[in-house]
Amino acid sequence: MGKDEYIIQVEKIAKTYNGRRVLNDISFALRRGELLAILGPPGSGKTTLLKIIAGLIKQDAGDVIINGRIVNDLPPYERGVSLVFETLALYPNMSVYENIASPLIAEKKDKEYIDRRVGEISRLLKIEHILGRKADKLSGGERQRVAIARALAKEAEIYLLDEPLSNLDAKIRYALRTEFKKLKSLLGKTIILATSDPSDALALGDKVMLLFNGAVIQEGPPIDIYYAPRNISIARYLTGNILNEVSISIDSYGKSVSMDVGQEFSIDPYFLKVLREVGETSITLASYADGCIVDKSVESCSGIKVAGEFIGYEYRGSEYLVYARKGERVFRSLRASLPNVTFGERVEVCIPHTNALLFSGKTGSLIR
Amino acid sequence: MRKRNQYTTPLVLYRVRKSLKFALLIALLAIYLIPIYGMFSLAFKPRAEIYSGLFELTRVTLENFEEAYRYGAYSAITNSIIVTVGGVAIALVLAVLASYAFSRFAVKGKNILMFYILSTRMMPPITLIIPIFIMFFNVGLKGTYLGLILVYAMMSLPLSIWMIKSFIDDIPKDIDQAALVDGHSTMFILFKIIIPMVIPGIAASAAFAAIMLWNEFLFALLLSGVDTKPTSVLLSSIRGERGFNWGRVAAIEVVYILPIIILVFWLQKYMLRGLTFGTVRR
Amino acid sequence: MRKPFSKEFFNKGRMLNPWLMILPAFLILLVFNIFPLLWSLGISFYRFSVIIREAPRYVGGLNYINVITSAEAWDRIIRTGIYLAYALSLQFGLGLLLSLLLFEDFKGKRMLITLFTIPLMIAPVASSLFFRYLFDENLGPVNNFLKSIAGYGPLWFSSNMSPLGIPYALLTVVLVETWIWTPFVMFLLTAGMSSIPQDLIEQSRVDSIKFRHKFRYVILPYIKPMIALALIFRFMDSLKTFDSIYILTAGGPGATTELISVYIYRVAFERWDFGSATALSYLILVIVIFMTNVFMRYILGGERS
Repeated sequence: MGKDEYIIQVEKIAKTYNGRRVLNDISFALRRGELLAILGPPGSGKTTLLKIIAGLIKQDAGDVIINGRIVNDLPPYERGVSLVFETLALYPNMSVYENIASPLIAEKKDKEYIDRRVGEISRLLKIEHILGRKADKLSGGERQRVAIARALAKEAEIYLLDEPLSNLDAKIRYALRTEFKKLKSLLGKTIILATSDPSDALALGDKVMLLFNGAVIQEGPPIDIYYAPRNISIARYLTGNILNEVSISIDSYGKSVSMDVGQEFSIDPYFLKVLREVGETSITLASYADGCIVDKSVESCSGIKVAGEFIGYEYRGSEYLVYARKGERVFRSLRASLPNVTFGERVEVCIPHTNALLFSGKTGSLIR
Repeated sequence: MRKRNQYTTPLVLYRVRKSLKFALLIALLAIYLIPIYGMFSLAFKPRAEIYSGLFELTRVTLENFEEAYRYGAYSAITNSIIVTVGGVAIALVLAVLASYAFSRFAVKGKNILMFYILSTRMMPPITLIIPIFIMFFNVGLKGTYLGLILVYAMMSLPLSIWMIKSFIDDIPKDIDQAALVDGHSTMFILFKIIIPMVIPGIAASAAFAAIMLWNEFLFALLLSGVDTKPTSVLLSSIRGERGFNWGRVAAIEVVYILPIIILVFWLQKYMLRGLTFGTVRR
Repeated sequence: MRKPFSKEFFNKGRMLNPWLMILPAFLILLVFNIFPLLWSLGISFYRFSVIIREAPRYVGGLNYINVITSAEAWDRIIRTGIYLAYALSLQFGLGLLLSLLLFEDFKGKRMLITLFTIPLMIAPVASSLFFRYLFDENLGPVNNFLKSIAGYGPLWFSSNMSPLGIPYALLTVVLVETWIWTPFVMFLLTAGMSSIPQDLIEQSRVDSIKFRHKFRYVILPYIKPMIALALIFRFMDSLKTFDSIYILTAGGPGATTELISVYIYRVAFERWDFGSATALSYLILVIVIFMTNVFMRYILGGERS
């Protein structure tokens, strides 16, 4: 595959701040029109990476290649990138119009062009009605849109968005997420988006890159990340630490099997065979809430079945998140309706083998 | 019933104590401001009543101001305005540029420079006055507006740089970076984006510098000439006269300090930064 | 490691070298501050003639030796020390009292503080001159008042000993300087006290602890940095005290109020002995720079925490 096919390549970027390594040999490549979501907890180096790409921070080592050209020594405005800051960084003393027009003014475009372009973009982001207002007199959602509009106004090869959906309440957040998808397909732009919210990354990214402590720990299409997280801590992070987990111990002969959820469990014979073939004595079985069944009784379960106790639920829009407990373990299940049980009543928890993720108990890395 | 009594007694005591404290404070303030009041009342008193007691004011008259005008107060005030405005104007333009660079860029030796600039605030002016006196004497700047204005620009630069920097430091760097990504030049970023955000701060810094220069005495005493002497020097020269008219002095003083008093009320928000060179913020 | 805004970054046209922005300000400081400082160091090694046109003579470290061994210079330094002790303790005592009275919030507190800061902002020349009227020994309002209640008015500008152990003239200078500078101390201490967390204050009120303990454990830890800051500022500025003395007493009577900066001024511009004056001022400068260093370290430490 030729290098020129990529619109942007980042090769072995490293950065150290005050003796602390904030970025460690980061590499990735992106084709035109793709959206890369950089996912990682706060402080994992996302902002630094975006600013290095934009040319605002100088890397210690490594190259940024945009359109086949090494841009390491180019100032931000010669790199063909546009950036939405995590802090938004609107110019508070200017009007919304002036904010959006800012990159166009810098490029010395003529008045007519600026008017047209600001009009287009503000229509797209539904902020036409606030164009005359001053930027420091806007609500959180409006500010976010203006920041995005300013970045989009610039004709860039790559748009960098740093936490564009953070600090927003759920409603605006959801609305903007749908808008992003629309924007993406509408504009066909190359986008790099940094976020600490797994659902944003998985929903929006063509590719997801997981950044932990300044290092890439997994990269791939969202489906792969979601269904094959490289290790258990990724899986936990993706669910916001509410992963369903069971520890399974198998003796070295593969004969006796025990779990940390007591004696009352059953394993589908085919699945037991699978577990034995793994060849590890300690396995952590995990599943997401959407791959776990909690009900009064589950007739046939193709994976493991555990008896537990119904402890509560949350209403999640169109679904219920149902909680069941067995010993120390809490299981969560997404259901269309509530099970016909009362609090504290016995329920059965089933994790079908197709939804089960198996991690090594020792190293935590994915087995299957 | 008993319980409530137990509770309210300390509260009453607390209120009494609080109002006593307040009364004491007002009394102290009143005593404290007697000299200011005295200045104003003396300025409006007829000449015959000058030693008649501070609080007696039987007739308000402007004769002291008329006499002050004849004495040359008008030109002294004009001179004060010229050197103050000149000094502040030069210092302000230079300080805005420098403080932006200090606030935003990794300049080599920045800490040393900033330390040096702060240390000029601490320097006894007497150390500088002798060489500057000789220098001005030799190049013919002694007794000119320009000489005093240049020295005043030097004097107010450190305060202006430190204070304006403290205001620019409060603006997130992301704003500059956003403008950089947009493609603006450094001068555009500074003058169209950053400065409009710190206009109140710059104005406050200018006001503090102006007060400092307006009140300055030592350099003015040695470097100004007969025609260029500012108000502080005029006032000090009255001191040497025998049997001079206190009413006239008070009139000049009132004209001299009134603008400062008005400024103080506007500056109350920035007082802490101004007094501590911007090193303490709030 | 290349800095984010290194030279190669700025040579791209649109971005300006930060040095270009610092340069104009630096030039002014170079010509009117750094150059005079160095020159004055040079002057301190020369002996000047009373006739200013005559060429000065190089004398090496003689001026410094003269200054250090001069009984007169030491007398002025000791005077300055006594003055510092009286003035600073009065300013800090009164400033602390006022700030404690201002401790609790009430309506109009800001206005009150602002009114208190007026003496600080107006010209010392103007206020000192007015104090000459107030303290006038024969007809001044202060003595008028004292005579009417105590039947006696002290000679405020004389070298007579006052009951406080310093001559009246020096006491007058101390009082006027205290009037001018107490608001500075008050203001900084009030700012320090406003940084005490509200719940801590309320807790101490609920517990109704003794004032002594409240001061020791609630207030003091928060105003300590401000006390240090105020102390450093006041120490430096008190060394520079010139305007008020020049107007009030001109250093007299005799040398009663001739503090170090007035003394240097007189040596320079009345005896025209520039060499000794600059030598002495350089010794003072060394002390000041040392103190500034301590101060800077203090500020940097404060910013780090």
